[in-house]
Amino acid sequence: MGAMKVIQVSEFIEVVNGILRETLSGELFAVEGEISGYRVSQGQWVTFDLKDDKALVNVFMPVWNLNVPVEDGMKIRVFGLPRIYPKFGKFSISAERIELAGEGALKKALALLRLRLEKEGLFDEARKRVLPRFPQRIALVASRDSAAYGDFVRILNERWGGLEIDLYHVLVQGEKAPNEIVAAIEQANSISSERSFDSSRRTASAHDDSYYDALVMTRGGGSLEELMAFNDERVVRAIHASRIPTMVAIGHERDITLAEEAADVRGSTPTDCARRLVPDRKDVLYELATLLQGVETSIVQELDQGQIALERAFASPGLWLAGRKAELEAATGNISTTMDSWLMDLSGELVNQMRLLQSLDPKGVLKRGYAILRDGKGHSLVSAAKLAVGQEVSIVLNDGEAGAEITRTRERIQQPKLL
Amino acid sequence: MKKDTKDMDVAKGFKELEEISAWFERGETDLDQGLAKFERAMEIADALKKRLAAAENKVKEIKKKYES
Repeated sequence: MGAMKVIQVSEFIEVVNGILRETLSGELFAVEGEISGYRVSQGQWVTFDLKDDKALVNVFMPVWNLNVPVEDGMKIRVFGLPRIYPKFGKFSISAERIELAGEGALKKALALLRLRLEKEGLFDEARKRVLPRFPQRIALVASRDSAAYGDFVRILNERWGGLEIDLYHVLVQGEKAPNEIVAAIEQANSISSERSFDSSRRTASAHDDSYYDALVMTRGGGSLEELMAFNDERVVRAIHASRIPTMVAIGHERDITLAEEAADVRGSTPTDCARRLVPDRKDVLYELATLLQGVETSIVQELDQGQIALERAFASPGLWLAGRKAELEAATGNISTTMDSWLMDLSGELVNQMRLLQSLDPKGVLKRGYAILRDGKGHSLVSAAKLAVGQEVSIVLNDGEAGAEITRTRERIQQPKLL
Repeated sequence: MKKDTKDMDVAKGFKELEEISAWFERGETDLDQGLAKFERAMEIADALKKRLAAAENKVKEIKKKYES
């Protein structure tokens, strides 16, 4: 007893913590259990109890060590060192990181993260960009050893040529995958903005704002656990932040990964991804032919129209003359008809007048046996009252005249006019 | 062949061709301009056909600055 050392509480805690640290460091084990009483204080400290059927241990960690979203009831594995917190004498595991245990926990965590990121607007349809129809240069984030990569490149070659592909080889599963993927996305983006300036000066690219026309990320299908890198929050955020338009295709999985949801364009498989990225050259050639045919038809039509106009120009003076001639003929025709009938009327009138005149000619009367009596001075004598017996008169007959003497006169008694 | 149709950017070529096509569809009547545009269209189409005949895509692996 006498050899026993007396130490203060704080020293004791320090000793115990030292022993715990020395014996348990180096990731000897992870502690698996179910979360209960999950709490975040001051926005930076996470505490919860980890328990199984028989026991319970407190877990403490800064919020930035929490790489997956958790909630009560989830089964997780905790990596870290146990220690006693001096101030309250509380034994807890100070967690470096945690891992979800089992499919159920993964799904739950995924649902939580999806909800959170969705609220934040990372999957908004409105911000999705359209990829250029004819990409020239792309950044491909994939594993060079994967079947997905092989399929993607093979389909690309079948459909299109002359595309420059920069491969950013990454691990697509496992603990290191998220970091590599994020770094690859960031590197592609920085290369893109560095080179876009040079390339826009050197060659007039159609997509001057970005060196890469698209960032494509792909891997084949797998279990939910294998695909977790594409559900990692950091990866999702990196895709969301990418200035290069993104296309993500993770193969054959019923549940869409969050990376795909955050991407501008989603392909269902690596093959589908290639189809969406580039057009089929056959289609483009057909379209080209159609366009060209349209232009050809247009120019031929235009030439035809020119020719028609030209012909018209040549023909029109003749036509004009013919027109004037016809007009003239019509006018002259009118005049001559009018003249004819006018003449006809006139000659008819003349005949009438002549007939009338003829009837009035005293000589005509003489022919019928009448005679004109004239005095010595040649005046016609029409009244018996003006005659004197013994007066000499001349008688004008049709073919000559003769002298005579009045022997007697008698006035005729005027008869009253009946009309 | 003009210099700018060599190694033609497909997107650019198509855009120009579509513009020419639209010009004709508007029923423009300047024959001189029409002929010039037609000639240009033929030139672009020829360059695009050549560009589309490019067989392979080039894959280049980027040196990793990002591996952890």
